[in-house]
Amino acid sequence: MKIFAGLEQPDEGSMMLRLAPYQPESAKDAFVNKIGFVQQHFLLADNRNVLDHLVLNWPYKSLLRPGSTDALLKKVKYFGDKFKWSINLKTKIRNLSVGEQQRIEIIKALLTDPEIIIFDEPTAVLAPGEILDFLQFLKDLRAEGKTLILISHKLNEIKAVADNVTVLRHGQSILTRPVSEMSVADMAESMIGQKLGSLVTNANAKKERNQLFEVKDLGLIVEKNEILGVAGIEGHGQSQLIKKVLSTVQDLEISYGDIAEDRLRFNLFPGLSLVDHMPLRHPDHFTKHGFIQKNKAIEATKEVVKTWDVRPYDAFIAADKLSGGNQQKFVVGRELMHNPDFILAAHPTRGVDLGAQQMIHSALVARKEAGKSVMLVSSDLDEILNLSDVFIILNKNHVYGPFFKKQLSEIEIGQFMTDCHPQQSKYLLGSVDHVAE
Amino acid sequence: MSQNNLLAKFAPWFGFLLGLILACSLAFFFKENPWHVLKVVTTSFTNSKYDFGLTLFYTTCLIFAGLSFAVPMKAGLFHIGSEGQLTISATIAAVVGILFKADTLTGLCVIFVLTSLTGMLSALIIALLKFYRKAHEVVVAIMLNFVFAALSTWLTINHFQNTESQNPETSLIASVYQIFKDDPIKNYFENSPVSSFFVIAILFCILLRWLEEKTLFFQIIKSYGANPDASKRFGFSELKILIWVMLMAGFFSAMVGLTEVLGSSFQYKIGFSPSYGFLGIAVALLARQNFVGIVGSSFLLALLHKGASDLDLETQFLTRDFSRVLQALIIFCVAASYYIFNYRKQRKGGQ
Repeated sequence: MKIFAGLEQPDEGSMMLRLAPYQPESAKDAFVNKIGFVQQHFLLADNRNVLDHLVLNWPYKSLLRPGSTDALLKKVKYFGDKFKWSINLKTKIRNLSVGEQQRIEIIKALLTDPEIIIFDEPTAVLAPGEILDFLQFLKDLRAEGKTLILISHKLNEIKAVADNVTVLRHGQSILTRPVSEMSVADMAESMIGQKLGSLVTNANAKKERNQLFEVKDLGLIVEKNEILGVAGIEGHGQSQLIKKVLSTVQDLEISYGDIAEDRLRFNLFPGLSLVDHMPLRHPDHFTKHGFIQKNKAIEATKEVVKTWDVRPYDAFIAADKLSGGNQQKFVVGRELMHNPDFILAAHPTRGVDLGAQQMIHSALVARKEAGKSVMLVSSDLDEILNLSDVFIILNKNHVYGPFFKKQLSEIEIGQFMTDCHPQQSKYLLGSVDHVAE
Repeated sequence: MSQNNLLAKFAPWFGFLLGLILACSLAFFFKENPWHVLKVVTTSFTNSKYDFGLTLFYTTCLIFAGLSFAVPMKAGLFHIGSEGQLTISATIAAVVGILFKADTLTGLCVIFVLTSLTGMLSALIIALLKFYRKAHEVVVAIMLNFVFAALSTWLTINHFQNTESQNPETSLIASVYQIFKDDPIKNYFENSPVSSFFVIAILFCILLRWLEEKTLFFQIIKSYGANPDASKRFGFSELKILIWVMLMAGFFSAMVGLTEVLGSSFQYKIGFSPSYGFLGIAVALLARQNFVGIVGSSFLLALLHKGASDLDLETQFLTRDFSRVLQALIIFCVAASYYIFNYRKQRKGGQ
């Protein structure tokens, strides 16, 4: 897709667009050819506000009237109403959550009025209700005559909106067929190359409670032998809660694994090899008197790469050369390798294929059954409900709960997320408003 | 290694060659033969042992200045403050050498410690202002360069001026501290400014390269340079990293001062540095912050500096100032090639 959007140059092969050869030299060629691209990893400047980004992408600005944004604002309002998104144009990007940033990316792409739009995992960070609105909007775009390319691991979404599906596996195109001829199970099978095992669920809800620690200033108790789910729309206090939890476990010197909410920002060092990451994350295991035990680190990295099927099988590859899914697999493998007592798993399956999703879920459940604590932060409600023993709900930096498995229906959870539950205040546990940067 | 990676790796050297060719071509405008200019620039260090020694002296100073830039660069800091730090350090080395009366060993130790401390503390200001006031290291360093230059001048002219000279310089340090006058390296190169500091500089490069490979400490510094957010999330203290890299940078700046005062002139002369601090940036970039590579790039820039300085003797119309133009052109081409090749690499790699 990056080649199609002019961001990378092909090594070989050719492309045809509208029956003519197509060789984009840069992203500008893609704009000219009416191709829009909503990337999985956003291309936004942290220090600029939302309006700056939109103005840059607004194709109708002129040198004579650079400040004329009326038509732009009208269009932004149209998209905001359509998706039911509230967009504050003056907010700087660094103050937006991942979910909010993605909305800006989507609007950026739509502003240029493209005929072909590529969406790379667009619903990964949207709330359940928002996903339905978004899928409906995709259908509307199709009805307007647009061509849409939707890259997604969520096969239900493909099934819901796509006309044709192409399955890729390890960089190879496996098949292209009309969606009507394939079930979700068929797609999953051709994706991972074998029959999909049964969905991992955490069926054995635990009976005894046994405290590992209490999150400071919040009264939230994290138990051993338990997966604590954190549900909520992105940007409603997840980052603040994570900071608070990490600060507590660091103060209490509890061993922990940290699968961060944004792997590129918090888990990986571009330019450093996978081997280099090991002593940095596990200094106690891979250093002696301050000196790195290189051979030990190499062995451990190879083990992680092999166990978690991180491709290519190269312990010395720079972390930024891996694809998003392989980066995540490496991070999960690295964080779980020494069996920590507490595991923070924030969006652990974001951007990974179905086989790896299963593997990660199984690993989390196995850790829980071995007596460890897991805090699972996810915007995917199904993931939370399938895996958690107990869960809390975040809404506008307020923490509600804890709720036991099956205590609330999905509709009730949605009500808590949108301030509509009649007993909202009764379940208020605390707030994560004031967390130092 | 693919062809593109190879190109990117040697990009600064292509830039260097291009800069050299452009600079020599400029000689056309001054009615000089570019070949002659190129010959002077590249071979003047071979004229005599003294010339070679002088080139090695420049190399020594450039190695230390290059290290002073390269270490903070590992942590993502653009350290442009070496010039000020080496100026104030050299002044303090001279002042202590004049005022402190002791035997040779004690005196040299005291000079070494106080000069190093001066360099380190003057660099520490940059780290502290960056951490506590979020001040950009480049702006702070540039301002401090002026402050330290003014302070050095004031101390020299008003308190330690050499009464036997009309030049703005301090008196000579006590004769018992001038042991590098009888240095074997200096003697070999016909009493040129080079001294054993040259060997010390190379040893530091090898030591740093080894530590970089082997220690967690350097790995932490590099991790902060690669991704400060992740480094903080891993539990590494930003303040400690900033302080340590700047202390090291300050120490190496101070070593330039010591090379001059203990190894060459035995006094502080205002303007002794032909912008070692800034040339150190080109040295480090040319070596792509490889500590051992800095030895090679320092020698290259040193011979260039030596050759360019000789232009006014060897040519009819060119002056010493032309050496500045020549160096500027080369640095410009090196920097440009670095970005051009990396940009190409990014386009291809999509990073």
